[in-house]
This record gives sequence, C-alpha cells and structure tokens, in this order.
Amino acid sequence: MSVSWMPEWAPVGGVPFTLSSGPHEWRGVRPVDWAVIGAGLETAHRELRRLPVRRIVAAVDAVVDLWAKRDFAARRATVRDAARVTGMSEETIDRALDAELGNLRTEPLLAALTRDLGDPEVLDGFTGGTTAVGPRTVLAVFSGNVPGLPARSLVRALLVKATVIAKVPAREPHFTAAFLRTLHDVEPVLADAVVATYWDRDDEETLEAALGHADAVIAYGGDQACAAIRAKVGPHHLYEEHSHKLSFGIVDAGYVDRHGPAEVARQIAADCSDFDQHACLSPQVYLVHEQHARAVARHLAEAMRREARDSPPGTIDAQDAAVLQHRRLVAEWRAAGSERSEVWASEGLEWTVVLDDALTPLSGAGNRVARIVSVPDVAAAVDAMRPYAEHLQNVGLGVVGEEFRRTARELATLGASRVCAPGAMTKASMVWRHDGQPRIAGLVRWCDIELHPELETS
Amino acid sequence: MTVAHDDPHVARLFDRMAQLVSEGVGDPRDVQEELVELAIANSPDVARYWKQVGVGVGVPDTAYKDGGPHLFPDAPAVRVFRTSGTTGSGRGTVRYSALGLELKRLAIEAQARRHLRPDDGVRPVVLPFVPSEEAAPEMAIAFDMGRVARSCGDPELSTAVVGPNGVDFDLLARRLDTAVAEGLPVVLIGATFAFVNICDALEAQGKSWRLPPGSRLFDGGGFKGRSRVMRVDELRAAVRRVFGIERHANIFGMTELANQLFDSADTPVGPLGERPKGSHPAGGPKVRDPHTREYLTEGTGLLEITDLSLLDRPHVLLTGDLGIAVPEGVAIAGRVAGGASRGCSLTLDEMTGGAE
Repeated sequence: MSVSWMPEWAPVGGVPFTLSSGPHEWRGVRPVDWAVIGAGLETAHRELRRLPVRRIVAAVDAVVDLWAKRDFAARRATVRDAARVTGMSEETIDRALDAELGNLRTEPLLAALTRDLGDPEVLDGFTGGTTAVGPRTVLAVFSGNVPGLPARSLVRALLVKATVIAKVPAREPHFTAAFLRTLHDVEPVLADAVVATYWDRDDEETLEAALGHADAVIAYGGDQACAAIRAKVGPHHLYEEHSHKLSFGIVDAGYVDRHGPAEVARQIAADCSDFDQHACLSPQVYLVHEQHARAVARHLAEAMRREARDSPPGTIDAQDAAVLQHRRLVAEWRAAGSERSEVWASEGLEWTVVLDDALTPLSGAGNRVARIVSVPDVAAAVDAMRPYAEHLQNVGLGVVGEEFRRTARELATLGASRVCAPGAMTKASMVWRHDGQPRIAGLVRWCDIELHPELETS
Repeated sequence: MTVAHDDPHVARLFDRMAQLVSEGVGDPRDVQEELVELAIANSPDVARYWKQVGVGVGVPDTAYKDGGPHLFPDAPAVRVFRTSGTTGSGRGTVRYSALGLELKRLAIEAQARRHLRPDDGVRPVVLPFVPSEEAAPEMAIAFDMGRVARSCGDPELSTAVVGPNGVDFDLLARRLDTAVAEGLPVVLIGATFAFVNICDALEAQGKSWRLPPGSRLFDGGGFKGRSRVMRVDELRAAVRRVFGIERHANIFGMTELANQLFDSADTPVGPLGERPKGSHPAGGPKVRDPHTREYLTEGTGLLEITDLSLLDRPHVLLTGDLGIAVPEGVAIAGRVAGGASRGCSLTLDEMTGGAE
C-alpha cells in the first residue's frame, strides 16, 4: 500500500518516491503542482468547516473503533511494515498503537476539547458570545520515533477544522496514510482534507511550496531538524514545535515503602521498555533513594526480563548494537571498581539494568537500558536533573504526600511539562498539554462578541 | 597475589615482550596469557571486570579518564602522559614505569622501521607535525614521533615542525627545500586535521613542492570531534597537490596504548574511505561483535586493540571506536558515541558529549 495519501479531488499521478529499509521498499507520490493542492485544500476546508465538531469526534472514534482491534487488516499491515522499518517487535508497536489510539476515543477527545476550549461547540459557531476558529491549513512535519504518533497532531488539527499537509516520517511512514484510508471510509470529508506525502530533509523547494499553502506549522524532530523548519516559518504562521526532549524518573523511600520494591521495579520496567525506550517520554534515568536503590535495581532485572518476554525488544542494527554494548562494558568497568555500582543484563542485548551513584559519566539510554542512580533524597534527584532543564519534559514521580506536591511544583518550575506515576510515563493522555502548551487552544483564534445587544442570542 | 615491578618474573616477561616487539620472536599467545595473569593478579578491578564480561575483553578507554588500572602502583612513574580529552569529560592520565616506557620505545621504533624506512635504506627527512618531546613532555605522540625521527630519520634534517605558535612554516619550507635539493625522501607525520589546515594554508600562499621519490605522508587521528570532515582520498589529493607525495597511509595511536597501528592495505573500507589497519607480531586490531562480544572476522562492531608492548596497563583496550573487520584488517570508522537520536527523543549521551 502507498505510504502517501492523496484526497479524491487531487490530480491522479504525482512525483513518485520510494522509502526503503533493508530489502523492503515502500512507494508513495508527492504532488506535482502545489497550487492545485492549495486550491483543493481551500475547497476541502469549506466542506470541513460545515462538519460539527461532535461529528468529527464521532468519525475519529469510529475509525479508532476499527483500528482498536489488533486483527483489523489495515492495522496488521501497518504494524508489520512498521516492524520492518523501525526494527521494533510487532508487540511493541501494537502496544504503542493501543496507547495512542486509546487517546482518540470520544471521551478523551471531548475531555481535551473541553479542557482547552471550555465548550467544544465554540468550534461550530458562537456559544456564550465566543467562537474559536482554527487555521485553514496545518503543515505537520512528523518524526518516527513512536509508531502512531502522527495521529495526535493530525486529529487535533482536524478537530479545529483545519486541513492538513502531513509530511510522513521516513522511519515510520505507514501509519498516517493507512489511518486516513480508514477515515475516508468513515467520513470522506475529513480524509479529503488531508494530503500526506514525503520529501527529503534537504528538499527545501517542496518544504517551501507546502509552507506557502499553510497558515500553521507543527514540527516534530531533533533540534536541528526543527531549527531548519523554524527558519522558514513566516510571521503569519502559527508555529508549534516538538523538538528534543529528555525525561526522568524519581522514586523516594516513602513510595517504595508504600508499593514495595518489586512493584516499583515493575513500573520502572514498563517505562523503560515501552517503545523500546525511544520515545521522548521514556526515562533516561530513574533517580532512586539510596535506601532502596539496590533492591529496586535487583527486582528491575527480573521485571525487565518479563517485559522482554511479553513484549520482545526490536532488532537493532550494528551501529546501535555497538553503542549499547559499549555502554554496557563502560558500566561493567565502573561496577568492577565501585561497590555502589552493578550491572544486570540479558545474555543478548534485550535489556540492561545499571545501578550507579552518579548520573555521569555513565550516560545514555534507548533500547531498554534501565538506569538506577541512587540519591540521598528527592532534592538531590531534582538537582541532578537541573543541568538538563532546558530539554526536560516528563517525570515519573514516585513520591507521596506533601513531598509529592512540593516536588511536582519544583519540577514544573524547572521545566517539566508532565508529571505522572512511575509506570505511566509513556502513556500521555490527550488532555496533557503536550510539551507544556494547550495544543488545541494553541491552534485557534478566538472571536468574542461584546457590548452588543445581540449578545444574548449569540 | 600481586606481582611487584622488581619481581624477576616481570624482568623475564619484559625480555620476552621486548623480543616479540622488536624482532617478532616468540609466541604472542604465551605473552598474552602471562599478561592476562599479571592483570588479574595486580588489578582487582580488571579481575572483577573480566569475571563479569569475559577474560581478555578490552578495558574501555573511559577507564583512563579516572586514572585507570595501573598494574605496578609500587613502581615509580618515569613518565606520565595525558590523554587528549577531546572526546568527552576531561583529560585522563597514563603512567609508565621504566620497563614499560622502554617497551613503548622498542615498539614504536620497530613499527617505524617496518613502515617508514624506504626500501633502499636511505634515512628520510622525518618531519612530525607535533611539538618536540622537550616542549610537550606529557604528550605521548610527541614522545612517539621523537623516537620515530631518531630511529628512522636523517639525523641532521629531521625535526618537529610545530613550535609554540603552531606550525613553523618557515622551518618546514627550509627543510623541504633542502630535501628536494639533496634528493632525500621526506616523511611527513601529523594529525589528519592538521594536514587539512596545512594544505589549505600552503595552497593559499601558492606554495607547493615535488618531494623526491620515496616520500610519504602518515596522518593520524581522523576527524573525531571536528565540524569538517574530509574523505581520505580528498585529503590525499590535497597532499598530492601541495607536496607531490604519492604514498599515503594512516596511523592509529592512542595515549592509552603503547604502540601504533598502520594501514595494511590501500582498500577503502570505512565511511570516509578509511583503510584497514593490520596486525603486527605484538598485537593489532580486532572487532568484537556488538551482540555477543565474540570476535568478528567480518563486519562492524567494537574496536579492540591488543598491545603486547603494554606492561603497565592491561594489554587489551576497547577504544570507543567502531571497527569494520575485513580480510585485510580492521578499518576504524569513527567514535561509537551516543547513537543517532530518533525524532524528538534525545539521549543523555548527546547532552554530555558521548559516553566517555
């Protein structure tokens, strides 16, 4: 199946492109004439605006209802292809999709709309003297570290009745088009408001052509990739960016006393195994109170083993494997010279647990490296994160009572945009203000009626 | 039980290592076995490390950032070299005992004789682009190049051409002019990146030479940590334009090691066209399978170097580089580093400049 999606109204044909991973190749097309696309999106936008927001929510929910079944044919094909290109196991991708798709049901969508806008109906017209208007066209440049991730921003844009030009990620190009094909079966007006295609990072001409037809831009990716897009964004563009982020976990003694080291280890293992630890939401390190750090780490080895059995880690190429093996050997060397350090690891590279008492020089995560760094108290844990404040995103905070509230506030001040329980780090809900901003509200412009005799009826 | 530096066993081991290193006489497997026993006896850290990961697995270069394992803490250090610190968190140190430094000298000179001496026995003008040993006593490469120049070079004309203010272009030009006038082959040795700058500078000045036949260039260090990289053949083309040198090779050395490795074949293997490095009687490069830690005969993995001229430290080092094993040897293909980031996900490696 094609990894691009062209609306029914788009001209047949286009510039073909091929994305490959090992022996596998996937094809798609890119528009030839962006002026035609711009005009088509304008028409599609008029159609889209006529759809009530609740109808859009219902259509997305209906698509997700189909996709929620793991044996749904389009989902199976997508998962199989995503496994080939990302190297992740099908179970890991299925779990990622379960989590992402679960966010797109009616209830969480309405909750997100209500939290951001007060009343979702403001998107359909004046309610209580106010209305919210989304952009005409959102250009969304996606990254592929998490399968299914494009759904979040794609749906947010459609909820505010914006048409979308989506650049699918080379590292996971299948989901977007497949999702849109199902959406077309359920509600063609929605799917026909989206163009999903691909262009190379250095293809500035296509980026500029797409930008020329957008009034909002959403960029996912590394700092460099985002900077390249940001440099081309004009003052008339609304801009949303999801660049490099780092996430951590903190567990204090009281939390371990309450839940027990085995349960805490289970939670940490889930956080470090989901998405093979490639999400920006995944923890780089868990800073654990020194009283329990070793016990948690010991249990963690068993918990990581169980995770690997139930949701096998993906295959990794020689380069990533070298990085991982090197990290392990560096950790083993450190452990050989320090009683406060220890390494537990699978025979192969499936999982690694490292206990240490310093955040550096041991560094790095990804591909299921669970690092426990022992700290004397929560304040020391927060201090250890301080140098990374600029990129701080998500904290799994295993702290109880008043200290939880105090620490959460401190983390918020430091730069975190999400605090959750250990074990829930990768399961960000649709209501979360993604990277610290209300992402639905961020896409709309408001119009208020005031000081007008007609206000009562508006 | 710890073996003291003045133990007769160590003296005997030194003799056997010296023979192997200098003349290629002896069984490297026996020496290796003894060095393993010595490391286990004298370094509890190495013993514990090998118990965990397998006997003989290279000690990571990061170990030397914290001082590293030194097998003879009882022996006075006659020399201390500092690591470059270009690859991460600060500079480390390596210490040499008298016997250890003597082995290093023998190893460097033996390798230089194998690779630098022209076939006709004429001593070339050796011009290392490093400071002299006197000017930089803590720089291992300055020590090495001093030995290379002394053992292989024309005694009158060979000299370090880097002074306190960088490359001494006047001195360089004088020596090259003399070599051309006298028909003496020249050996230029220096950091890879230095040659990029030197060629740029000389081309800008409009200077070039046609150095006599038998002249060679050896570069080392590659482009790690540099913003600009150049393919091997591009650099060679620049060197050909400026110096008229046709014979090139790359040297791999690290402060943590005693000996150096030289290209064994002129086949491009690495991503920038890096040539494979070969083994010598007293060691050489190998590649560990990143999945199993077994040795690979072909493919990409962790570069491990065996150096049987190392007496003061474990004789196997994981350099932190990627190695590509081919039948002719092992190409060194850049730092392992922190791996490519994916999308918005960042790793601490990238934040801290690599797992160093």
